[in-house]
Amino acid sequence: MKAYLDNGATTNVLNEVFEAMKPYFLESFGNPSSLHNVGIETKKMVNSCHKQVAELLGCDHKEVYFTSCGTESINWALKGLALANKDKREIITSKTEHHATLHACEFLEKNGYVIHYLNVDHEGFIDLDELNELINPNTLVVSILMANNEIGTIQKMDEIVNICNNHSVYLHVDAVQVLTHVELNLHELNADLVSFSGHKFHAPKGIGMLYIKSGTKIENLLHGGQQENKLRSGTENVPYIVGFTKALDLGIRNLIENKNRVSEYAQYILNELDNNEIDYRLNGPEIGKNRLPGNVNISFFDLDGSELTYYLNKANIYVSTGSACDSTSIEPSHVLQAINVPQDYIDCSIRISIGDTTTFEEVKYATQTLIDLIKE
Amino acid sequence: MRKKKLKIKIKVLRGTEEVFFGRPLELKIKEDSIINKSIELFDDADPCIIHQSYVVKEYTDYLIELFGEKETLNGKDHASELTFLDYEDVEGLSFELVR
Repeated sequence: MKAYLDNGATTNVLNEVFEAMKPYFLESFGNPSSLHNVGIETKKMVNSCHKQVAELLGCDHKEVYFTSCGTESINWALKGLALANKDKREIITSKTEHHATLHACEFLEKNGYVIHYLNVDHEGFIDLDELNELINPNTLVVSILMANNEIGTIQKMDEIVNICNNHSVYLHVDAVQVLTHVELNLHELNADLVSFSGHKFHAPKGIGMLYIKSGTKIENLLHGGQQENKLRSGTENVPYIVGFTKALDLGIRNLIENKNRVSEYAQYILNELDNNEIDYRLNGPEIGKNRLPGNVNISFFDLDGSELTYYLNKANIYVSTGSACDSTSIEPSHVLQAINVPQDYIDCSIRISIGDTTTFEEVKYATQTLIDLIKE
Repeated sequence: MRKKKLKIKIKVLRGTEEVFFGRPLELKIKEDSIINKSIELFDDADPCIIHQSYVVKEYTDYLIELFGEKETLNGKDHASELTFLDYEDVEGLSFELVR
């Protein structure tokens, strides 16, 4: 028996997605910039994908920009805004952002920008009062992780958007973990830039997207053939754009059903831990509307997380630890530190991320194995 | 697979002298052995700390499995299998599992 429970890291490409992509590797391989039938065919497909994605996400097709990944989208959002709006030199983000945001901000800080890192509470919610106080005329952008990849916290986006709009400050939302797992309409969200990543929802690795609201002043990072409405050069990755679009369509159709199921499975895990009197704490909000469906980040008392995940791996159960590499030592993740996980628990933190294709048998097997390992 | 691995400690003795007592992960492993295992597992001769830690676990799990159902093990009976340990004269060592 195997149980892949690391869907927050990546997901498998669905068969239907792969089948949709295949023709664009083999037969319809043209460069969309070519003015012959082979290119025209793929150009039409790329345009259709822009329109379909726009319809699925509630935006205009000219606001959809395909990238290579979520990290590129995030880097483009922050650095592209910085390059286009040089009169503003402060950025506000949070202590629990993904490393793509944190390291992009570090880069900008080395280049003269002032970065403010918002505090979070014990469940990972940012301090909205602190945000409101920090915004000033020099603020370039507020960049917020909508759903935390480690502890699942879904931020209070309405309030964040209101604060940013009240101050007329750009808002970039890292929604990499959100797409097809949480309902999202981009025009309703009303952020200026939103980053996505295909491999988090059964599209392949190597494709992402940046939503750029019309009227946003942003510079290119990639100059060349002027693809993607002259803002992101590079020959379009047609099969991957097709895959992204197909996966998005499938994911949104099945969102409610998948969300309910994975939430049930997540609750099952916690119930079983309780029934077996395991000493643990759930990191992040309770399972429900404020938590990414299927995300279970737990810390166990007085154990070693890397050992636990090692032995889970030996039992063919695949999860993540709550640690990060600091080049010379293994430290607990910055997210767990930011929410003040107690010392007796922080070193044994694992993230289980149940996916749309996870079966109940896998969840049961993983849960029982986990309990057996801890109780031994 | 031997059960009860998570909370094991190991005592290493040279005669009656305690050479080491602690978690298996804290045993000294030869750097060359870490590199060789990293090449075998990851095709990487310069592993990051997390991959090094994984390699160490592979070795310590292997050591624990050598005990079988017993709680003690003599270095002289497993000298060729314990070459990854970075202790002088492994054949002269004895190992005990402690809970």
